[in-house]
Amino acid sequence: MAEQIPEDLIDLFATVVDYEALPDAIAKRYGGSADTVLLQIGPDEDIERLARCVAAIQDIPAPFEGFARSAAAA
Amino acid sequence: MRVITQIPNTDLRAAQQLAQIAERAGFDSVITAENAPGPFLPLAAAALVTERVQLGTAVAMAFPRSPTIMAHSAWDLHKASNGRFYLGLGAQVKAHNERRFGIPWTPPGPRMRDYIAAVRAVWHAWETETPLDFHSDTYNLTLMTPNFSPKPTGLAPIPISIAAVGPAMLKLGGEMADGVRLHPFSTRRYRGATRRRWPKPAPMCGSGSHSIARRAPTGMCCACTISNGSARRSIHFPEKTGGARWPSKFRKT
Repeated sequence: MAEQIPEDLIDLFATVVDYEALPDAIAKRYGGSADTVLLQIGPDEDIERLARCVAAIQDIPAPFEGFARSAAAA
Repeated sequence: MRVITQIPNTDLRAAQQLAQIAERAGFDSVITAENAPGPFLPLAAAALVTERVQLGTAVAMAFPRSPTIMAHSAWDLHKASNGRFYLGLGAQVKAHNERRFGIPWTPPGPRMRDYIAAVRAVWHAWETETPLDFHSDTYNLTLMTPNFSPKPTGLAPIPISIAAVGPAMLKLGGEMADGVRLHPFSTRRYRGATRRRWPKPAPMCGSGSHSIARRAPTGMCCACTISNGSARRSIHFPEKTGGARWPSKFRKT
Protein backbone atom coordinates (compact mmCIF):
# COMPACT_ATOMS: atom_id res chain seq x y z
CA MET A 1 0.00 0.00 0.00
CA ALA A 2 2.93 2.35 0.64
CA GLU A 3 3.61 2.48 -3.08
CA GLN A 4 0.08 3.74 -3.71
CA ILE A 5 0.68 6.93 -1.79
CA PRO A 6 0.85 9.80 -4.28
CA GLU A 7 3.51 12.48 -4.21
CA ASP A 8 1.13 15.25 -3.23
CA LEU A 9 0.07 13.33 -0.14
CA ILE A 10 3.70 12.87 0.88
CA ASP A 11 4.22 16.58 0.40
CA LEU A 12 1.24 17.30 2.63
CA PHE A 13 2.62 15.41 5.63
CA ALA A 14 6.35 14.98 5.14
CA THR A 15 9.52 16.89 4.43
CA VAL A 16 11.82 14.90 2.14
CA VAL A 17 15.19 16.49 1.40
CA ASP A 18 18.81 15.72 2.16
CA TYR A 19 20.47 16.84 5.38
CA GLU A 20 22.03 19.97 3.92
CA ALA A 21 18.66 21.29 2.75
CA LEU A 22 16.65 20.08 5.74
CA PRO A 23 17.08 23.06 8.12
CA ASP A 24 15.77 25.56 5.57
CA ALA A 25 12.95 23.21 4.62
CA ILE A 26 11.92 22.84 8.24
CA ALA A 27 12.10 26.56 8.88
CA LYS A 28 9.90 27.18 5.85
CA ARG A 29 7.42 24.44 6.63
CA TYR A 30 7.24 24.38 10.43
CA GLY A 31 8.67 27.69 11.58
CA GLY A 32 6.10 29.38 13.79
CA SER A 33 3.88 26.34 14.16
CA ALA A 34 5.99 23.83 16.11
CA ASP A 35 8.98 23.85 18.37
CA THR A 36 10.13 20.25 18.09
CA VAL A 37 10.92 18.13 15.08
CA LEU A 38 11.31 14.38 15.00
CA LEU A 39 14.13 13.31 12.71
CA GLN A 40 14.46 9.59 12.14
CA ILE A 41 18.03 8.34 11.92
CA GLY A 42 19.72 5.02 11.37
CA PRO A 43 22.80 3.21 12.67
CA ASP A 44 25.01 4.16 9.71
CA GLU A 45 24.76 7.93 9.92
CA ASP A 46 27.62 10.28 9.08
CA ILE A 47 27.74 11.80 12.56
CA GLU A 48 29.44 15.04 11.59
CA ARG A 49 27.03 15.69 8.73
CA LEU A 50 24.09 14.84 10.96
CA ALA A 51 25.41 17.07 13.75
CA ARG A 52 25.66 20.05 11.38
CA CYS A 53 22.06 19.49 10.35
CA VAL A 54 20.84 19.16 13.94
CA ALA A 55 22.66 22.31 15.02
CA ALA A 56 21.16 24.29 12.14
CA ILE A 57 17.64 23.12 13.03
CA GLN A 58 18.23 24.04 16.65
CA ASP A 59 19.05 27.57 15.54
CA ILE A 60 15.54 28.00 14.11
CA PRO A 61 13.66 30.22 16.59
CA ALA A 62 10.97 28.42 18.59
CA PRO A 63 7.58 30.08 18.42
CA PHE A 64 6.25 29.55 21.92
CA GLU A 65 6.83 32.18 24.56
CA GLY A 66 9.07 31.00 27.35
CA PHE A 67 10.33 28.01 25.44
CA ALA A 68 13.98 27.06 25.57
CA ARG A 69 15.76 24.11 24.03
CA SER A 70 16.61 22.78 27.44
CA ALA A 71 13.23 23.59 28.92
CA ALA A 72 11.92 20.09 29.37
CA ALA A 73 15.09 19.03 31.12
CA ALA A 74 15.09 21.93 33.57
CA MET B 1 13.73 24.32 17.72
CA ARG B 2 14.40 21.06 19.48
CA VAL B 3 15.43 17.99 17.50
CA ILE B 4 14.47 14.54 18.70
CA THR B 5 14.56 11.03 17.32
CA GLN B 6 12.87 7.76 18.07
CA ILE B 7 14.90 4.77 19.22
CA PRO B 8 13.71 1.23 18.57
CA ASN B 9 11.88 -0.65 21.28
CA THR B 10 12.31 -4.03 19.64
CA ASP B 11 16.04 -4.42 20.33
CA LEU B 12 17.67 -3.02 23.47
CA ARG B 13 21.20 -2.99 22.02
CA ALA B 14 19.97 -1.20 18.91
CA ALA B 15 18.22 1.29 21.20
CA GLN B 16 21.49 1.93 23.00
CA GLN B 17 23.39 2.34 19.75
CA LEU B 18 20.94 4.84 18.30
CA ALA B 19 20.75 6.81 21.55
CA GLN B 20 24.53 7.16 21.53
CA ILE B 21 24.50 8.32 17.89
CA ALA B 22 21.79 10.86 18.75
CA GLU B 23 23.75 12.15 21.71
CA ARG B 24 26.95 12.51 19.69
CA ALA B 25 25.06 14.36 16.95
CA GLY B 26 23.60 16.83 19.46
CA PHE B 27 19.97 15.73 19.50
CA ASP B 28 17.92 17.15 22.36
CA SER B 29 15.92 14.00 23.12
CA VAL B 30 15.34 10.40 22.19
CA ILE B 31 11.89 8.96 22.55
CA THR B 32 10.18 5.59 22.46
CA ALA B 33 6.78 4.59 21.21
CA GLU B 34 4.36 2.17 22.80
CA ASN B 35 3.27 -0.44 20.34
CA ALA B 36 4.13 -4.14 20.44
CA PRO B 37 7.03 -3.74 22.92
CA GLY B 38 6.65 -1.32 25.81
CA PRO B 39 8.23 2.14 25.91
CA PHE B 40 10.18 2.02 29.18
CA LEU B 41 12.83 -0.70 28.90
CA PRO B 42 14.67 0.80 25.88
CA LEU B 43 14.95 4.09 27.74
CA ALA B 44 16.53 2.32 30.71
CA ALA B 45 19.03 0.74 28.34
CA ALA B 46 19.71 4.12 26.74
CA ALA B 47 20.13 5.81 30.12
CA LEU B 48 23.06 3.54 30.93
CA VAL B 49 25.10 4.49 27.85
CA THR B 50 24.34 8.22 27.56
CA GLU B 51 25.02 11.23 29.76
CA ARG B 52 23.31 14.27 28.27
CA VAL B 53 20.46 13.47 25.93
CA GLN B 54 16.94 13.63 27.31
CA LEU B 55 14.92 10.40 27.39
CA GLY B 56 11.17 10.31 27.05
CA THR B 57 8.16 8.27 26.20
CA ALA B 58 6.48 9.66 23.12
CA VAL B 59 3.23 8.25 24.36
CA ALA B 60 2.84 5.74 27.15
CA MET B 61 -0.73 4.55 27.55
CA ALA B 62 -2.02 6.01 30.78
CA PHE B 63 -5.27 4.40 31.77
CA PRO B 64 -4.35 0.69 31.68
CA ARG B 65 -1.64 1.46 34.24
CA SER B 66 -2.61 2.77 37.64
CA PRO B 67 -1.13 6.21 38.37
CA THR B 68 1.11 4.65 41.02
CA ILE B 69 2.48 2.06 38.59
CA MET B 70 3.19 4.83 36.10
CA ALA B 71 4.78 6.95 38.82
CA HIS B 72 7.14 4.09 39.71
CA SER B 73 8.26 3.51 36.10
CA ALA B 74 8.91 7.19 35.51
CA TRP B 75 10.65 7.65 38.88
CA ASP B 76 13.01 4.74 38.24
CA LEU B 77 13.95 6.06 34.80
CA HIS B 78 14.40 9.60 36.08
CA LYS B 79 16.74 8.35 38.78
CA ALA B 80 18.65 6.01 36.46
CA SER B 81 19.23 8.86 34.01
CA ASN B 82 20.10 11.43 36.67
CA GLY B 83 17.06 13.57 35.94
CA ARG B 84 16.86 13.26 32.16
CA PHE B 85 13.48 11.56 31.85
CA TYR B 86 10.17 13.04 30.78
CA LEU B 87 6.86 11.23 30.75
CA GLY B 88 4.71 11.40 27.65
CA LEU B 89 1.20 10.12 28.28
CA GLY B 90 -1.71 9.31 26.02
CA ALA B 91 -5.29 8.17 26.43
CA GLN B 92 -5.45 5.90 23.36
CA VAL B 93 -8.94 5.33 21.98
CA LYS B 94 -11.99 3.62 23.39
CA ALA B 95 -11.58 0.32 21.54
CA HIS B 96 -8.04 -0.28 22.79
CA ASN B 97 -8.92 0.58 26.38
CA GLU B 98 -12.00 -1.58 26.42
CA ARG B 99 -11.15 -4.49 24.14
CA ARG B 100 -7.35 -4.80 24.42
CA PHE B 101 -6.96 -3.90 28.09
CA GLY B 102 -10.41 -4.69 29.44
CA ILE B 103 -10.94 -1.44 31.29
CA PRO B 104 -14.05 0.74 31.27
CA TRP B 105 -14.02 3.79 29.00
CA THR B 106 -14.87 7.13 30.53
CA PRO B 107 -14.45 10.63 29.07
CA PRO B 108 -10.66 10.84 28.57
CA GLY B 109 -10.21 14.54 29.30
CA PRO B 110 -11.44 14.53 32.91
CA ARG B 111 -9.80 11.18 33.51
CA MET B 112 -6.44 12.37 32.18
CA ARG B 113 -6.70 15.47 34.35
CA ASP B 114 -7.13 13.27 37.43
CA TYR B 115 -4.43 10.88 36.21
CA ILE B 116 -1.76 13.56 35.85
CA ALA B 117 -2.60 15.05 39.22
CA ALA B 118 -2.50 11.58 40.82
CA VAL B 119 0.91 10.74 39.35
CA ARG B 120 2.28 14.05 40.57
CA ALA B 121 0.76 13.50 44.00
CA VAL B 122 2.58 10.16 44.29
CA TRP B 123 5.87 11.75 43.23
CA HIS B 124 5.30 14.57 45.71
CA ALA B 125 4.71 12.10 48.55
CA TRP B 126 7.93 10.28 47.72
CA GLU B 127 10.07 13.37 47.24
CA THR B 128 8.86 15.14 50.38
CA GLU B 129 8.38 11.97 52.45
CA THR B 130 4.88 13.07 53.35
CA PRO B 131 1.69 10.98 53.49
CA LEU B 132 -0.11 10.32 50.24
CA ASP B 133 -3.57 11.83 50.39
CA PHE B 134 -4.96 12.38 46.91
CA HIS B 135 -8.63 12.60 46.00
CA SER B 136 -10.34 13.10 42.66
CA ASP B 137 -13.40 11.87 40.79
CA THR B 138 -11.38 9.04 39.21
CA TYR B 139 -8.60 8.18 41.64
CA ASN B 140 -8.29 8.20 45.40
CA LEU B 141 -4.84 7.37 46.76
CA THR B 142 -4.29 7.31 50.51
CA LEU B 143 -1.78 4.54 51.21
CA MET B 144 1.98 4.69 50.65
CA THR B 145 3.92 2.74 53.23
CA PRO B 146 7.69 3.22 53.67
CA ASN B 147 8.75 -0.06 52.08
CA PHE B 148 6.89 0.90 48.90
CA SER B 149 8.24 4.47 48.83
CA PRO B 150 11.44 5.24 46.91
CA LYS B 151 13.84 7.59 48.65
CA PRO B 152 13.84 11.26 47.56
CA THR B 153 16.10 11.94 44.59
CA GLY B 154 16.60 15.70 44.86
CA LEU B 155 16.11 15.85 41.10
CA ALA B 156 13.89 18.32 39.26
CA PRO B 157 10.27 17.21 38.86
CA ILE B 158 9.61 14.92 35.94
CA PRO B 159 7.98 16.86 33.07
CA ILE B 160 4.77 15.43 31.66
CA SER B 161 3.51 15.83 28.13
CA ILE B 162 0.25 14.52 26.76
CA ALA B 163 -0.79 13.42 23.32
CA ALA B 164 -3.56 15.68 22.10
CA VAL B 165 -5.68 15.88 18.97
CA GLY B 166 -8.99 17.48 19.91
CA PRO B 167 -9.78 20.73 21.74
CA ALA B 168 -10.46 19.15 25.16
CA MET B 169 -7.08 17.43 25.43
CA LEU B 170 -5.30 20.47 23.98
CA LYS B 171 -6.91 22.64 26.63
CA LEU B 172 -5.90 20.19 29.32
CA GLY B 173 -2.35 20.23 27.99
CA GLY B 174 -2.22 23.99 28.23
CA GLU B 175 -3.55 23.91 31.77
CA MET B 176 -1.70 20.99 33.32
CA ALA B 177 1.05 19.51 31.18
CA ASP B 178 4.56 20.64 30.36
CA GLY B 179 4.12 19.85 26.70
CA VAL B 180 1.68 18.60 24.13
CA ARG B 181 2.44 16.09 21.44
CA LEU B 182 0.30 16.59 18.36
CA HIS B 183 -0.63 13.72 16.10
CA PRO B 184 2.26 12.92 13.77
CA PHE B 185 -0.07 13.29 10.79
CA SER B 186 -0.40 17.02 11.07
CA THR B 187 -0.51 19.48 8.22
CA ARG B 188 0.49 23.11 8.51
CA ARG B 189 -3.18 24.06 8.29
CA TYR B 190 -4.00 21.79 11.24
CA ARG B 191 -1.12 23.12 13.32
CA GLY B 192 -2.18 26.68 12.61
CA ALA B 193 -5.72 25.93 13.73
CA THR B 194 -4.38 24.21 16.83
CA ARG B 195 -2.28 27.19 17.80
CA ARG B 196 -5.25 29.53 17.47
CA ARG B 197 -7.24 27.30 19.84
CA TRP B 198 -4.41 26.97 22.31
CA PRO B 199 -5.17 28.39 25.75
CA LYS B 200 -2.54 30.36 27.54
CA PRO B 201 -0.62 28.17 29.97
CA ALA B 202 -2.42 28.26 33.29
CA PRO B 203 -1.11 27.77 36.80
CA MET B 204 -1.00 24.09 37.49
CA CYS B 205 -3.79 22.45 39.41
CA GLY B 206 -2.67 20.52 42.46
CA SER B 207 0.76 20.62 44.03
CA GLY B 208 2.51 23.95 43.76
CA SER B 209 5.96 22.39 43.58
CA HIS B 210 5.93 21.97 39.81
CA SER B 211 6.91 25.38 38.51
CA ILE B 212 7.60 23.80 35.12
CA ALA B 213 3.84 23.62 34.60
CA ARG B 214 3.92 27.24 33.47
CA ARG B 215 6.16 26.39 30.58
CA ALA B 216 4.60 26.83 27.17
CA PRO B 217 3.41 23.60 25.62
CA THR B 218 5.50 22.06 22.91
CA GLY B 219 4.32 20.91 19.56
CA MET B 220 5.47 18.21 17.23
CA CYS B 221 5.85 17.80 13.55
CA CYS B 222 6.56 14.66 11.68
CA ALA B 223 8.24 12.72 8.95
CA CYS B 224 11.41 14.65 8.24
CA THR B 225 13.37 12.22 6.14
CA ILE B 226 15.83 12.04 3.32
CA SER B 227 14.01 9.46 1.18
CA ASN B 228 10.57 9.24 -0.31
CA GLY B 229 10.52 5.52 0.51
CA SER B 230 11.00 6.24 4.18
CA ALA B 231 8.26 8.86 4.08
CA ARG B 232 5.93 6.43 2.33
CA ARG B 233 6.55 3.79 4.97
CA SER B 234 5.90 6.29 7.76
CA ILE B 235 2.66 7.45 6.19
CA HIS B 236 1.67 3.90 5.26
CA PHE B 237 1.14 2.84 8.91
CA PRO B 238 0.21 -0.77 8.01
CA GLU B 239 -0.16 -1.80 11.63
CA LYS B 240 -2.74 0.90 12.19
CA THR B 241 -4.70 0.60 9.02
CA GLY B 242 -4.88 -3.17 9.26
CA GLY B 243 -4.28 -3.50 5.55
CA ALA B 244 -6.94 -0.98 4.60
CA ARG B 245 -6.50 1.06 1.45
CA TRP B 246 -6.17 4.78 1.19
CA PRO B 247 -9.36 6.57 0.22
CA SER B 248 -9.62 6.81 -3.54
CA LYS B 249 -9.04 10.55 -3.61
CA PHE B 250 -5.53 9.94 -2.23
CA ARG B 251 -4.74 6.88 -4.31
CA LYS B 252 -2.46 6.84 -7.31
CA THR B 253 -4.31 6.44 -10.55
